[in-house]
Amino acid sequence: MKKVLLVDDDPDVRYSTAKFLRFKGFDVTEAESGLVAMTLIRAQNFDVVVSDIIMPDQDGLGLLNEMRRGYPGLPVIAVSGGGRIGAVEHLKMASFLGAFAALQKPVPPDVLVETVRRAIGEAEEK
Amino acid sequence: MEIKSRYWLLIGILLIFLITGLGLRAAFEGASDTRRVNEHSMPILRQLYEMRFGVMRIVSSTSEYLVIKLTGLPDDDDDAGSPIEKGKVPSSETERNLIENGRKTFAEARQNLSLILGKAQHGRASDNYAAIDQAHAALIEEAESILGLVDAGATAERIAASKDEFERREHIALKAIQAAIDDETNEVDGDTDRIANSIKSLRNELLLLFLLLMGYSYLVFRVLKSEALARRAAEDLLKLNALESEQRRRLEQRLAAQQKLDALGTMVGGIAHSVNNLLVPVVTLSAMLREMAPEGSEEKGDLARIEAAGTRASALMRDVMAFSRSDKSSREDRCEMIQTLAKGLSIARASLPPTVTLTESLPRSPLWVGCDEGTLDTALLNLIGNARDALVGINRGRIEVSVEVVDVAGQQLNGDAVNVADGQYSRLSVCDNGPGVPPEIREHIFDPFFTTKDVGKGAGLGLSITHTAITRAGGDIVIASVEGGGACFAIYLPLVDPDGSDTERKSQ
Repeated sequence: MKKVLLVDDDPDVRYSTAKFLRFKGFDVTEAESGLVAMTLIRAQNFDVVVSDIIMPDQDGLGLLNEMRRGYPGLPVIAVSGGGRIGAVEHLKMASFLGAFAALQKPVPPDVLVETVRRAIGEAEEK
Repeated sequence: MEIKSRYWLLIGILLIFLITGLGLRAAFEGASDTRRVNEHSMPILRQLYEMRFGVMRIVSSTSEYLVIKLTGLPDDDDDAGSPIEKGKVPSSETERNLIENGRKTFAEARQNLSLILGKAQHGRASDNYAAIDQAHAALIEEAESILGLVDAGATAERIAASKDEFERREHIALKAIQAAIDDETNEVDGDTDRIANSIKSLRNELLLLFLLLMGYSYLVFRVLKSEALARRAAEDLLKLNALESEQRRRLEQRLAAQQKLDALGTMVGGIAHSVNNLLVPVVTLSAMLREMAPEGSEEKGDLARIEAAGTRASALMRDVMAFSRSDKSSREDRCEMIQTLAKGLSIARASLPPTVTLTESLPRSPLWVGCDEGTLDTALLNLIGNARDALVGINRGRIEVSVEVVDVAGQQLNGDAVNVADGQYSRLSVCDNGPGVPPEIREHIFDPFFTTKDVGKGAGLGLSITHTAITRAGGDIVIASVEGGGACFAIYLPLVDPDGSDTERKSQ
C-alpha cells in the first residue's frame, strides 16, 4: 500500500479525506500541523503528501518550502480553500514553491485520487 | 502692506503738524508787524504831518506880516480895517491883534512841537527829531524877530533882508521834517513788506497743508480699501477652506466606502474559504458512501443527491469568490508595477536557499503598465523560480531583478529583438549567474510543455503561459544576451495612464 501523509488543521476535513483515501486503498497518516508533519516525514517514508497550505502560522507554505529543500523526491499535493496572500493566489504560490499540483477545496474525490496516483507514479519513475 | 501703510499715516500726520506750525508762525509774525504799524508808525506819521502843518502855519503867519509891511495891505481882503502904513508903527487895534496873535502862534507852536516830539520817540528817527527841534526853534526865532521888526516899524528893505533868512530857515525846518517822514515811511514800508511776505508764507503753508491733507485722505482711503480687500480675501480663504474640507470629507467618505467594500470582499473570501472547508466532509463522505451503497438502492440515489448539492455549493462559492475579487479596485488590464513587484519579491526572497542572493533595482516612483496584477505576478515568480532552479548546486548564486523605462523604436533595443509596437515600455529583467541557456534550447524555451527539468518537477507550462499572457497585454518576453555566462530574461510591458487614456498603439 502506498503511504499518504495528510496534513490539515481542520479535523472534519482530515477525517473525511483520510477515510476516503483509505477506502480507495491507501495507507493514510494524519497530521494536524506542518510541524507534526515534518516530524513524521523524518521518521517514516511516505510516497506522497497531501497538505492544506493555509494553516495557522503559515504552516502550509513553510512545509512546502522545507519539503522542496529537504525532500525533493517526495511529491506534495497542495490543497486550499482559495483566497490570496497579498496579490498572489494561494494555489499559484504553491506551484511556485514546487508543489506537484494545487487543488481547490472541496476537491472532487475522484480528482483527488487520480492526482495522488499520478504523483506517486511519476515519483516512482525516477 | 499694513505695517508700511501705518508708517505712512504717521509720517503724514507729522508733516501736517509741521506745516501747520510753520503757517501759524508766519501768521503770528505778520500779526505783530501789523500791530507795530498800527500802534506805532501810523501815529508817528500823523504827528510828523502835524509838525509840518504847524511849520506851515508859522510860515503863513509870518508871510502875513511880511505882506503887510511890504505892501501895506493885510493879507485878508475881508479885513476892512485901516492898513498899517508903510514905515509906520502899527497903531490900530487890528494891527496890534495881528501882532499879538502872531506872538501867540509862535509860542504855541514851540509848545506843540515839544509835545509832539515827546510822543514820537522812535529808535531811528530820534536824530531827526533833534534836528527838527533845532530847525523849528531857529525858524520861530527868525519869525519873532521879523515880528519885532514889524512892531518896531522897520523899513520894507530891512524886512526884505530878513525875509531871505526866514525862507532859508523854513527850508531847513521843512527838510528836517521831511527826512523824519521819509525815515518813518521807510519803516512802515518795511513793516508792510514783511506783512505781505508773512501773508504769502501763510498762503503757501495753507496750500501745502491742503495738498498734504488730500494726500493723507487718499492714503487713508487706500489703507481702508486694502483692509477691506484683505478682509474679503480672508473671507474667501475661509470659504475655500470650507470647500476643501467639504471635498476632503467626500474623498474620505469615498475612501471609507472603498475600504468597506474591500473589507467586505475579504470577509466574503474568508467565508468562502470556510464554506469550502465545510464542504469537504460533505462531498468526500457522500462520494464514499455512495460507492459503498448497493446498486439500485435508495441510499445510493440519496447520497448522489448529497454529493451533487455539495458540488453545486462549491461552484457557488467559486463564483462568489470570483465576484469578491472583481469587486476590488484591481483592474483587469493595468496595474502599478513597482508595488506589485515589491510584494512578489518579498515572497520570492523567502523561498530562496541561503546560497542565493536576490538584489533588486526598482525605480521609486509609480509605474503603470498595461497588464493585470496577476499576470505580472505570475511572470515574476516564474522567472525567479527558473533562475532559482538554474542556480542549484552553485555557490554564491545571484539573481538580479531590475526595472527601467525604455523607448522602443524599431525592433532592436539593447540587442533585444522585441516584437512590439513603438512606444514607451517598462523593461523588467531577471538575471542569474547560472549556466545560462544553451543556444539550441533558446528557440523552444517558450513552447508549451517544453521543459528541461526532471520529470515530476513541473510540467513546463510556466514560461509558455507567461509568454502568452505578456504578448496578449501588448508586451514581449525575450532572452537577453548576457556577458560572462548566466541567463537573463527581459519582460517588456507597455506603459499606460492609470486612468485609462492611453495613446493608440500602432499595430505592427
